[in-house]
Amino acid sequence: MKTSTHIMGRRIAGALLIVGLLSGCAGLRPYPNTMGKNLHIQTETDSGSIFSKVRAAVDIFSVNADCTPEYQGTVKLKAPSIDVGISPNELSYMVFVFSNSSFLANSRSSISHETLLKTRAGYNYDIKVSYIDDIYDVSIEENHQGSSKSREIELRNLSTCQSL
Amino acid sequence: MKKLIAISILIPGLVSMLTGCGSMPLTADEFRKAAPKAMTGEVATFEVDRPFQAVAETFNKKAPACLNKTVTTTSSTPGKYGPVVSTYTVTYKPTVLLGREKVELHVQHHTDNALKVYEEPAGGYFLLVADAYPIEENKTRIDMYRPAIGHKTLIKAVEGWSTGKNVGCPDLTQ
Repeated sequence: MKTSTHIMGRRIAGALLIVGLLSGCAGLRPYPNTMGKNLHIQTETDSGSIFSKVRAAVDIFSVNADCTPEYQGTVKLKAPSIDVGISPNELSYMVFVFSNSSFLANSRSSISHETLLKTRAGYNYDIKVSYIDDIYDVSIEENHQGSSKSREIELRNLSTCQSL
Repeated sequence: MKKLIAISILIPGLVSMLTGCGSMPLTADEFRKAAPKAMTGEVATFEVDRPFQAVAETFNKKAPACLNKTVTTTSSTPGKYGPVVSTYTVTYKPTVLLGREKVELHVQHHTDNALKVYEEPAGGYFLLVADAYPIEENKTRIDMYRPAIGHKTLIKAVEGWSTGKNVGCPDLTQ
């Protein structure tokens, strides 16, 4: 009995570990998204296989004066687009996460692409997010409201925070 | 994916065994010499209709952004006492050397807790080396020393950076 309990315990522990690892969402919470919408995020995903699926999401962090990111929440990126609001004139850190799950191999993996972004009041930002056949890309374009002027924003990692 | 992970871990050993040299390439130049002789390596040469400077800029911009990553993959298989979870952590290291007549892209990778039979160079075993040379004003030649098995996503990405037609990042977990 002790042995079967031990085995059962191991099975439950194993199952919980699997759920925890494979869910990949421990500690994640939805981003409140209550501010004025200044980000227009277009998303396109295609795993290239009927046996796997790709999901895209963005984790949004505020960034303190000492360049420490503070997690604000996660937005699931659904095609074709979603509007998100972040604080203008403040530094944000955005981590785009692509999660790939394969049904046949019973495996799940994720890869991320991150950038610092300081939005400006009076500007909108078009963000294109794609994951097609195992190649992903994130590009950001800044557009002045009421004019056709736009410029591409270079992606910056967190280590460049001090220089911004 | 498990197959790819296994290939990724085994490739250094296979390259070495098949080349019969008894050691792994410790430099990019050694890798260039070893890859064509190994069954698990190959050399691909192609030309792109793009100025050399543009290819150099793309390599220099995309390699650090896309390849300077540590990737952890987890998979599970049924076991006697429940699922067996396998986790692998691979750290990639890109290096771009810019010259007036040649640009080199080196990609190395290091797998945590992998059995290391051979000496591993700083930054990890060499996985891919791509050299770009100017041919004409609008033409650039690429010599790519690369694995013949697996890592197709990485190869596809570097080809895209060369042609400029698809400059996204490879999902290194695939």
